[in-house]
This record gives sequence, C-alpha cells and structure tokens, in this order.
Amino acid sequence: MTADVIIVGAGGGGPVVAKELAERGVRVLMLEAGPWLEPDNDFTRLEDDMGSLVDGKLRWGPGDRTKAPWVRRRDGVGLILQAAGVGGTTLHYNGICPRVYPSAITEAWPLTYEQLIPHFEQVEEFLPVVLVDDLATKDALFAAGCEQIGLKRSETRDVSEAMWRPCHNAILPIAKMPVGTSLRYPEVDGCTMCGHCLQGCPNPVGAPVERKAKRATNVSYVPAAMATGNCEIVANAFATAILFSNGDGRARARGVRWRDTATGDEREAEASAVVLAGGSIESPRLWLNSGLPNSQDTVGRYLSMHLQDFVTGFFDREVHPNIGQVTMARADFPGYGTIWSQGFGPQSFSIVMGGGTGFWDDEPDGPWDFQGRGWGEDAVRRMGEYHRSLTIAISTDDEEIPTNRVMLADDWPADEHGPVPKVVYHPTPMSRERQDWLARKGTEVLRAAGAKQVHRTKIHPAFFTHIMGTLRMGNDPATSVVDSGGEAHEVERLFVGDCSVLPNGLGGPNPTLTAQALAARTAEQIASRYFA
Amino acid sequence: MTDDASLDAIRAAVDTIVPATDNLPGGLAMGVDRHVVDLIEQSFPGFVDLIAALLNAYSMDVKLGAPFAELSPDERTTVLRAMSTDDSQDIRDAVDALVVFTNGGSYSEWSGYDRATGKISAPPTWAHVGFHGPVHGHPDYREDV
Repeated sequence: MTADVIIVGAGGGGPVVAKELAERGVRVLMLEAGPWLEPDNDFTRLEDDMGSLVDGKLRWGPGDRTKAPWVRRRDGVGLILQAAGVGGTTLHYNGICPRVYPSAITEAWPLTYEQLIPHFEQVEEFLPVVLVDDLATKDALFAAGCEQIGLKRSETRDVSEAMWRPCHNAILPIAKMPVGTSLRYPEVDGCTMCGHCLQGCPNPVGAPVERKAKRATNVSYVPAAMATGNCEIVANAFATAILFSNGDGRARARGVRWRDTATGDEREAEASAVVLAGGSIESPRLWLNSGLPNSQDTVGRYLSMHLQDFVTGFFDREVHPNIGQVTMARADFPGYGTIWSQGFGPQSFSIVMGGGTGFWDDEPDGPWDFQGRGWGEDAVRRMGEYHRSLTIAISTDDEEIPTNRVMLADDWPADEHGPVPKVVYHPTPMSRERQDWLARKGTEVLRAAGAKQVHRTKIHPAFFTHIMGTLRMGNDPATSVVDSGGEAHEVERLFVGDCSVLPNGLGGPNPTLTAQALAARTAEQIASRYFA
Repeated sequence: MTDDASLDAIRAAVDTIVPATDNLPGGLAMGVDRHVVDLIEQSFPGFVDLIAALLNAYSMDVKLGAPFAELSPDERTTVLRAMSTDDSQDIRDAVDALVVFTNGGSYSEWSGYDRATGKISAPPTWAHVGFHGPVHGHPDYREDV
C-alpha cells in the first residue's frame, strides 16, 4: 500500500497513533522490529520461555531466537526490560494505568493537566482501564498494611495527596468463574486471575484476540487499527534511517528505510509524515543514526526511569505471589513516587532476592532485616518461602537531568542497524533520597501487614522498566525536541509517539497511560496539521 | 569452542549460587551450567572464556595458584563478592550474568521444558518454593486477610 504516515514501532504508543489516524481515513504503514506473536499459540505462560532477556519470546531481539539479542551499552544501568514485537513492552507490562500526578506537570510541560484529561479519558474508555473490583490475597495484604499505617483508600484517578488505591488496570474485569467452570471463553470472559500478566496474557483460553484480558496494544489498538482497512503492519522490520530533505529552512521528513531482520533485505518507503515510536532508547538512536538535525544537542537527553527497587516481606501465612493480576493495589506519595504490590513467578523472585547492593550477611543500612545479594544454601532455603512472600515494587520520582541520556556508543562496534545505543543513568542525590524514603515506607507497610522479616533488594545499577524522556516535549528548543503537538522543532512532519516525549518522570506513576494519552493527542495534531 | 577449564569455572559458579541441599538437587544436577553457558555465548560469543578468566584471576587473591573451580564454597563466595563490588561495571555485570542465569535456569521451567514439543515436567524447585506452574486461571484467588 501507499502510506500517508509511516510509524516506526508497534509498541505502547505507535498503535495508538495508528488507530486514531486510520479511523480518520489516513493510510498508515507501521513497522515493528520484532515478531508478531499470536497469544493462543505463542504465549506459553512460562517465565523463561517468554521472559528470558537473552532468548525469551518477549526479549529485545530479532524474531529468530537462536540469534543474539540486540546490544545496548550501559553506564550506570543494569537490566533493561524491553520487548520487541507487535505490542512492544505492553506485552509484558503489568497493565497498571495511573495518570501522571498533577503536581508533576511542571513548567517543563507545554500542556496543562486539564488539557490532558480528555486524552486520558479517551484511552481509558477504549482500552478499557478498569478499577479492580476485588483484590487477590497478596494485594489485600498490601492494602491492609497501608490502612494500618494510616493511608486512606481512594478510587480517584487524579492524585494530589498520599493514599492507597485499588488499581486502575488495563485489564478486563475479573471474570465470573463459578466452581466447575472450564476457564475457557466464552464460558469465562474477562480476567481469570491466572497471574501470568508478565508472560504476555493468553487468557481466557480460546478468546478472540480482542477479548484477551490484559489490554496490551497487540490485542487492543492493533486490531482496531487493522479493522479500519487503512493500516498495514510489517513485523521483523528494523528501521535504520529516517529519510529527510534539507529544504531552505527546516528539514522535512519524507520516509523510512528499514531492514528485514530475517532476510537482511533493505527497503524504503516514502510518506507525508513519519512517527517515531520505537521507545526511549531506540527512537533517539534512530534519530542520531539518521543524521537528523540536533543543533541544540537535546536529542537523547533527560532520560528518566523511576529508579526502581523492591522490598519483600516474609509472612507466617500463605501469600500466593503468583495468583491474581500481578498488581492490584498501589500507594501514592506525590513528591516521592509510588509503590505497589508486585506479583510474579519464582524466577523473577529469585532475581529480586539475588541481585542488588550489599550482601545478606552485612549489617542492613535501613529498617529492613537484610538487603542485597544472597546465594548458596541460605538463598535456596529462602527461596522455599516464596509462597509466603509479598514483594513491593518502588517507583521513584527521579529527577530528570540532561546528563542522563541515550547516545551512540563509541566503545562497541555497530551492529547491522548502525551504531548501537549507549544508555547512561546516574541518579541525583535527591532521587536516591526519595528511593530510600519509599523503601522505608514500603517496609513500614510490610511490617504493618504482618511481615516477620523484610528484605530490600537495593538495586544498583539502575533497573530499567519505565524508560522515559530522550525526545522530550516542550516549548523551548533548548531543552526539548518536539513541540506540544509531538512534532520535532527542527524537522517538519516528523512526530514522536512514545514515552520519549515525556518531559519528566511523571512523579513516579507507571508511564504507559500518559504516553498513550499524548500519542492520541499527537495523532489528532498530525491529522489537523497535514490531513485536514 | 569454549575451553574445558572455562566450563569447570562456570560449573563451580553455578554450584556456588544454587548448591544441592537436603532433598533438593542443585543447579548442576538440573543441568543449569549448560543454560548459563548457552545464554552467555548467545549474547556475546567468547565471553564464557572471558568470565572464566576473570573468576580465575580473582581467585588468585584468595588462594594463590588455585583456579576458581578448586576453591571451597566459602572461597568462591569471596571471589564472587569481590567481583560484584569491583569498580568496573563490566566485571560486576559478569557476576550479574552468572547469578541471573543460574537462578533463572534453576527456578523457572527451563530444566523441565522442551521448547520443540511444548512438553513440560515440573522442575524440583517448584515444589520447594510452592509454585504450581502455568494455569488458565484462579477462581479461588483470595483468602481471608
């Protein structure tokens, strides 16, 4: 097909732009570096098969799992959890969909909170984002701990004070599952509380793709975009250059070059506009590798990632960390960040307990009983307490600074897609203070809930799941890359539709919903500016 | 081709991180050393030899002339601790790779799963940790709190 708009990346943001444009009659070509998996056939619910960073189906790498994953050089950066494939990182996200804290809409933002609300509502209604109407055991324990320390329950989406909340998740309502049910669609319709959100949700078994419970974009925005007849998706297509012209003044995007990751063949297509949506690492990498204008050296800067961490409590009772939506309750602390109950399987748990700063037999440096790394017989014994453990994830309101950035690596050879990205992140002292504050608060919640012992992972270097900024939105070209409509200050008809545009870390909340709301707004802007 | 002495070092690391304990086979008995070697080589060909060389070099500070594989469990732990607090991120990353891949192979389905056929038998670690394996749903998802 001949496309009006080419979108690079079918992850959390690209499909939002695709659906909104395609429904307006704009013809869209969406390129995705990874494969296009089928939930019923490909999602095995197995932690290693799906989630291995090296050869899992949801890794950052080509569709052929015998090949090496794609390289990122790292400075101050530990594990990077990002998935290639149609659906992108929403394939393995928790589905948690909070809005940005209003207090985080600082002067760096070119939009007000009130301007964002219609776009939040648009995405929340479509996905849909649902307030959970019950809690699994682990989340009920978390909630009880929050109540014990005096946090009030709230169901608001607009958070301006400390509270605990049942989650607003992009997961269908909990299915009715009477005793003896087959747990197959259409006998059950909705979330079956299987606990496999992180492995790519394949449930209910037998449900059409559009009725899979967790609303990753591969089962929500992608089918809606395809249903218009105006959207074509090419998987296993790694973009290697944005094609552009240097006119008399401003540069102008005119197409994309990509490489078929299976055959190695290169192709090009031209279009009236291009949308970068490859995520906050690959989007700036592609910008830099394309030689696009960057006169203010702003591309790749102001990387934010929530300086994540974990505290884990061990109880005298069953907790079942593997049962239920992986996160169903959270607590918010504007000014510091947010924490939530984090369910997962034993592989992830072993890594939370085995990584981090310090060692189990060192003196702890906070109110937790032990911290950091453990291995050997003690660790094997401790793993036996998995089923009585509750882990709380910490998501810090980390300060965005220009020296935290994505750049091109000068200490590693280029791969088949050009110079590889180097991710640099060193938290500010304030970010560290906030992370410590949240770890103490999480420990307080766990003890109030009845935990007999608490472990803090104390992750260092940084653990990347919420990757934000690097092509930030703003009014000032000296500190931002795109305008309030998502279009590049220096390149006409080049838009950004992923987490790269976020001007800061949102105050700590999970970023997908806010990025998707901005992507929906950017789609409107593309349509009104060039396809009215 | 990975050197045999390098494989000995990786096996020793796996045996240190997830050793056999009462009633539970360790990572070695589950073949996790193959998993660790395969993942490292798939990511960065040649790095098994490099990581083994690092383990053996740090071992010199613990017991002169002894390669990592010949150290006692406590001595190996001393080596892994030293490497994981090194100033170089690449050296710290080497320990992270050993820990993440060893734990990952031991506590996931890996040792009991055939990717070609999809057949799975529960690894012994699942009963130990209280994990039932993959399911279609949990109608009884909540207990009294």
